[in-house]
Amino acid sequence: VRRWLITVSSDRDLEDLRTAVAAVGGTMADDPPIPLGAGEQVVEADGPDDLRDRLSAHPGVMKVSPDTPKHPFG
Amino acid sequence: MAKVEALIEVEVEVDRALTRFMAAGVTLDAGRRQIEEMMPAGIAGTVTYRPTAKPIPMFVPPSDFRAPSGLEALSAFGEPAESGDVTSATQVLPVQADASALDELRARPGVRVWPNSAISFFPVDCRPFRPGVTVDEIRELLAVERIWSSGHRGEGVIVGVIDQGIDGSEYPVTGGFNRAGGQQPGAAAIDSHGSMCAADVLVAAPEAKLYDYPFLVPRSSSALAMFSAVLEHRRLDGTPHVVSNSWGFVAVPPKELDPTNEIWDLDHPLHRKIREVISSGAPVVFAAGNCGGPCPSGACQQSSIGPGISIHGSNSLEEVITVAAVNSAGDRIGYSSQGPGMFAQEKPDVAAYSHFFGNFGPGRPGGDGTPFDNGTSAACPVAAGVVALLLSRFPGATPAQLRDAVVDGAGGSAWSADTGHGIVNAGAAMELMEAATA
Repeated sequence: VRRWLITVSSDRDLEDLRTAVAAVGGTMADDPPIPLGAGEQVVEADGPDDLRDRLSAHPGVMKVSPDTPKHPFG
Repeated sequence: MAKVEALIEVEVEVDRALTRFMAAGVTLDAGRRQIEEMMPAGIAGTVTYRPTAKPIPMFVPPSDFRAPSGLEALSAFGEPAESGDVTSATQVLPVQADASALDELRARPGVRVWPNSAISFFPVDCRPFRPGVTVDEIRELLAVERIWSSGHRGEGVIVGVIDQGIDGSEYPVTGGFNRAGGQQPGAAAIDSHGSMCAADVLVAAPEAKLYDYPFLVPRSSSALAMFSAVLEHRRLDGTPHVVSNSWGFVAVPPKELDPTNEIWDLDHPLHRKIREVISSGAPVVFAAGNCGGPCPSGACQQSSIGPGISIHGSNSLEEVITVAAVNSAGDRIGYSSQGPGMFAQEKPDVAAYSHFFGNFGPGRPGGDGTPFDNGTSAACPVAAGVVALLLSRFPGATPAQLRDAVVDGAGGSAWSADTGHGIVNAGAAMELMEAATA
């Protein structure tokens, strides 16, 4: 299971997206979506390594990006 | 009159020149005596020599000299047996001479005067690291006094620190963000990484205030949320004015396995959010990272160590100011990540100082369990503090104007993979901005 960031249009029904993510083996986080640019929003999800492929054909999903770990540089 | 270091090349045929060259090194006096024998007449009183100086035989003269080339004789040196010694065409004499004497020599036929330039060995401060220095010494190196003397010390400027949280009882946290149930701004311990970053912003801009964006879950999503909060804060009242980021990746995944990883994908939401923040008028400063050679951080994976692969992700976006680390002597610190960047090539943009007693060290708030503020994590907020200081002097400056001033003020010299365009200098940056607005 990996962490993912899913970009969808800002008018996308997030409950419907939650169902779609669950249908392909993922779990959408409860955190509020993060607005991005004009007309987009980003939600977090846990999901299988191929979540991007599994959601690629799903209507309204614009991008699926990895949510990767960061390290302090001190 | 001060003497100038120079190399004087004269036409002197010396038999068995290499043997004689080696003999000149046997005693200090031998080298000096050889130079004096070969020195053109009439300038003896205006020339001195370093104790180790000796003539250097040359076998291929400058093209406009009369002496024949000895290049052919050297071709025998590739044989696996001893070759005969050769005759010099010219000799190069290292001297210290009056400028007027050098001018006179330049006019003579058969004499050439060359510069004897200082050469840097680009020393690297590597484990064990050289000792730390005080904040006052760093302030002097940054030339902050040139701005402070005009009455500006970062007042009215707020720097957002996206990190692991700041101790607000020690440092001037006036706002920030966290998700519900998370750590509140200013609530971190004094020995936190974020408290170190806070201390280091204040090196150049001691009157700046801080917004604390505690980045306790170190993932893209947390960073994305923090930058989103920055944007919302800016929408509300135009603050914070600068954002400092001392974090990033320590591994590079293979592109074919992870093409949308933010190391490879410029359209990753985090990168786009950072561009939004910069577009809103706030400069964003990033640490280059600690995965440079020859002494990378132990956290770095092999895929991310060394030139060309150690500055990546948001830290290598063209729009941000990417900061490498040097010590107080201006030596690159041996873990500081090296360019070119994996997005924008000319990364780092600049270097700034690290290894000083800011939050950590003898008598400092964070104690001396950590010997001094360290990493490009310290260098980044030092540079962010310089940007804040410039903003207090030039309140309307844009991110691009500030970036240009910081880069050009660092010397604006040819870019290097180790330290970018040079070391941040607040005074020089201010003078450039003053000249631009005059």
